[in-house]
Amino acid sequence: MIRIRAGVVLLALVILAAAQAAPGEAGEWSDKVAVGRPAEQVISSWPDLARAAARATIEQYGRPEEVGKDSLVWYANGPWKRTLVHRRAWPHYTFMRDKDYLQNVIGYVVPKDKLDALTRFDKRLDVDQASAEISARSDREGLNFLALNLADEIIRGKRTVEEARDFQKQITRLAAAGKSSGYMNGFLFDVRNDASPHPWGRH
Amino acid sequence: MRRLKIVIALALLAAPLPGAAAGLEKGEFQALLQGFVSHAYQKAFRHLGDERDFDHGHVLSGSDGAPVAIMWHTQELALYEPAGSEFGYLDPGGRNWLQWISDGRVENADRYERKSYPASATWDWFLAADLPGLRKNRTILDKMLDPGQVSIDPAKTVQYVFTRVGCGRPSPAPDTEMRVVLPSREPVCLSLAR
Repeated sequence: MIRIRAGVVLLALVILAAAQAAPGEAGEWSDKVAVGRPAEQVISSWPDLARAAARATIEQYGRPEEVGKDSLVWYANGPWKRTLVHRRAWPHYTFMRDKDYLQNVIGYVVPKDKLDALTRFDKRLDVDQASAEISARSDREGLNFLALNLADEIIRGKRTVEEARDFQKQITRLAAAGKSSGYMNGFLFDVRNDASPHPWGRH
Repeated sequence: MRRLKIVIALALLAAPLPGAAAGLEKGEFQALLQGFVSHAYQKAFRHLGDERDFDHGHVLSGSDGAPVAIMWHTQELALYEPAGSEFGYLDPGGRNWLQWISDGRVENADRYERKSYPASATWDWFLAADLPGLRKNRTILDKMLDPGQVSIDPAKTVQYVFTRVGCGRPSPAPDTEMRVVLPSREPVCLSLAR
């Protein structure tokens, strides 16, 4: 009986060790989190642009709290509930180039009837109603501020989807021409990163 | 009555720039803009107070907070306009300008652009993500100026936007308005904001 228990413990230890094995040694991680791996070591195998984005974010916010093989994650960094740098950029849907490595998440309760409008506005917005979160993804924080500020204005009925898209395009062009905008420098609405998906209480 | 009008006019000129932290008064900003307009109208821009062409400047300050120069960006959206059109390029090499606070002299900012960038992850990402788009637009930002030639602290830069408004209309906020005269003697009234 004791021998069987020892065998089970040993087996558990082997499984645990295997789960923490480095990539290259065992091919890929068996889970999403590269436990104990330094971020720099993980991103060394990322594509050049993704690695550059990751290093810049580390320089800005310090070491990430989570290091996965496909993403680095910071929590409560600056104005964000969560920031992720991804190994792979999304395919670009709009006029932007394909460098959407940076995802910034905030707490926000998006009304159900606004989901379609936000999707039509910018496919790089991601709404998670269960967690009361919305995120934007691009190559710069400034562009994520812009997308989220405009998402808020669509939700509040201040702009239509078409107006928001035109405005986003204009502000982005002007930024490349040297003119900065408050829409890209921070939030123009109150952000509640502790927003609850059930502000009225759970049933 | 005339004396009262002069006092009010002087008070408005001495008014600080809206939201000013740049150590520059509105009258000084207006005089510098007038100088730049006289220098660059029809060479670097056609439409004063229009965001498609010329509607903003950046007050650049040294590390002590004292203003050093104004950086003007003209032909702002010319890249997206057909060549030869009203908002197309007049001169693609004349998009970025420095006007020195000390003597009002205007120079093309291109000669002050950095030749190299510091080694850091933030700068590397700027070079990879931002610089190609800026180059395509022929844009020079304050942080792209060579610190060996222009001693400024980009963190202290303040942008001002001037939008054309009708000269005859009653102004809701006279202390934020400026009047600039084009070389053609046409007056242009501008509403100033950060």
